[in-house]
Amino acid sequence: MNKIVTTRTKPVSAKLSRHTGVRRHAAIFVAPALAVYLLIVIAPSIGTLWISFTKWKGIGDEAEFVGIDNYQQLWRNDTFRGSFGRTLTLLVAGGFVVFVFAFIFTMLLREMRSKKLIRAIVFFPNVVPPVALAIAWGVLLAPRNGLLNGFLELVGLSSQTRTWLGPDLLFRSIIAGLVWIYTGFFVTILMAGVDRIPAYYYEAAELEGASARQKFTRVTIPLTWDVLSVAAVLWVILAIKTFEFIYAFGGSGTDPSASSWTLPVHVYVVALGNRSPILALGQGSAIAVVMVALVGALIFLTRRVMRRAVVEF
Amino acid sequence: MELTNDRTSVSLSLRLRRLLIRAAGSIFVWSWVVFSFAILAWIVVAAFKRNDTVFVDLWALPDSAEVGNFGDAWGLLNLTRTSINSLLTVGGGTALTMALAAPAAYALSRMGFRGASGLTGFFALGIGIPVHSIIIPLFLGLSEAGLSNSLLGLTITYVGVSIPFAVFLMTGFFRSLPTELEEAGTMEGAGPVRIFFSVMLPLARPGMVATSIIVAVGLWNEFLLALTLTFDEDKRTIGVGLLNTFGAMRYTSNWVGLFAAVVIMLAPLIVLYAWMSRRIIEGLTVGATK
Repeated sequence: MNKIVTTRTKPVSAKLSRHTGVRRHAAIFVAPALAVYLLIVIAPSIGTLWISFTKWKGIGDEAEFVGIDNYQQLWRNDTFRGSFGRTLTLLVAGGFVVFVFAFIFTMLLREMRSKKLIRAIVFFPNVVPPVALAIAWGVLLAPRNGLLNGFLELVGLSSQTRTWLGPDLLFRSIIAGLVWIYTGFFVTILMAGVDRIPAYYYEAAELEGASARQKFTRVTIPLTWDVLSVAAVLWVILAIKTFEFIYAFGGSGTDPSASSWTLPVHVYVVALGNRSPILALGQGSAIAVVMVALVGALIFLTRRVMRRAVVEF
Repeated sequence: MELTNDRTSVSLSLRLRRLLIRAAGSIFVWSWVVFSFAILAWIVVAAFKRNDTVFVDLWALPDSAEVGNFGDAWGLLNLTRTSINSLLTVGGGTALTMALAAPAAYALSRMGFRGASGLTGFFALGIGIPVHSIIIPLFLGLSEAGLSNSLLGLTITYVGVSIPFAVFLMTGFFRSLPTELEEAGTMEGAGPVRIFFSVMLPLARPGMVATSIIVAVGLWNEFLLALTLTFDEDKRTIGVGLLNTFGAMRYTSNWVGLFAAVVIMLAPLIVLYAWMSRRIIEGLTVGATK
């Protein structure tokens, strides 16, 4: 079915493009969206690049061109390195856990009867305001009176209670929270890929005596490769730009402590932080540029690594 | 296949192992579900407790339902004001986003003009640009235009940042539609504008609905832009209201009020989700798989 549609698209669109006035109509259709996009997203991006080469405290202050000074300073700045490192930790360690969980869910749900219901429940945190999630996560992990510690004491595991929000565990607690939120998102995406695999592939594999692991590595992975590659790109973007949950969780609404900063939180606190703005706009912009560069480089890398002949079926 | 000698016993132990794996899997899945429910349920119950006893016995049910907490929460969130602001900015932003993104996505995916795929990629680029990387010049630019600290400025910004993902999803939807009707329209002599409005748009309705919900939910939950681009008390959106309520907790310790505020924010969301979750989920996955 899919095949028929794709092969038919080409001649039709070729015919249409010869149709007079198509370009003009296309321009009318695309121009308004393009204009707003250029104005609100692209122009400010270029602005950020420019500000990152200056020393500036905002309107009323004379911007001073300093070249790559801001970037060099970042390189030497321990707080920045901390934020950068935590972003990478979230990306790699968090990503690993999210994808393992998402795969476990996908494989198990494939055979479960209430799979749509469970998928909807697991996805739900993705539509909840991150502040509300941060509050819930805080209630769960609060050192005194927290639900987790309270539960551990209730079932006689008092020795396992921890100061989950202490400086050394804080970021891991944040990653755990993000795993809880985002796993559902990737379950949804992976399931969409798995659902397209015809059931008889699995039946054939079972007849051949394939184990669950073989079914996974020989059927599921190759046949969902393109969806997986999209999912990987989405994770890169999500992991690097996640802000609200970390900000609200790390600081209960005030500027969070530096031990939980990732790059977006760092930009916000350095350039715009609401309680005590430092207004180092040049510095903040440099970090923002690093973020975009990181997203771009990682997407390129992901696509490169995952590029492989897609299995036709 | 050296296992064939002892087939029955092997298949038995294999079956047992499979059964165990499946049981372990079910336990994993269901504990995740129960865990998510438990947190939600705890907060809902706590919203009815008294502030001085809410943390004394974590698992106790409230002796009396403190409905007053919700009145407090209403005031803390400044809900009368913030909900109107959110409705205006999110509603207006979503409607405008769709009005701009749908025709653009249609042209990009179906009109087959030269440069269409490059332009589609250019729009998709915006998905990868974090809001943080544009917010400083955006704030300065809006101030210059007299649109900082204004709901109109925030709405326009919402449209700009939502367009990339909306275009991305909608191109996926339009691509999945059959081409026959378009051809028929062309044969009948209808122009592209006519075909778009009277043939393609009705067909793409499910996609439009899903995309607008996804855009709206994203904007409803957003607070970075609202926090930065507006600063007067009466321009606050609901997300910022909740963040401020949470921040004020350090001084007031009115936990039950905070929980009631969370319940107030979640209630309409849960209703919407129970009704529309399939649409939301399918809408999100079309972009990834088509």
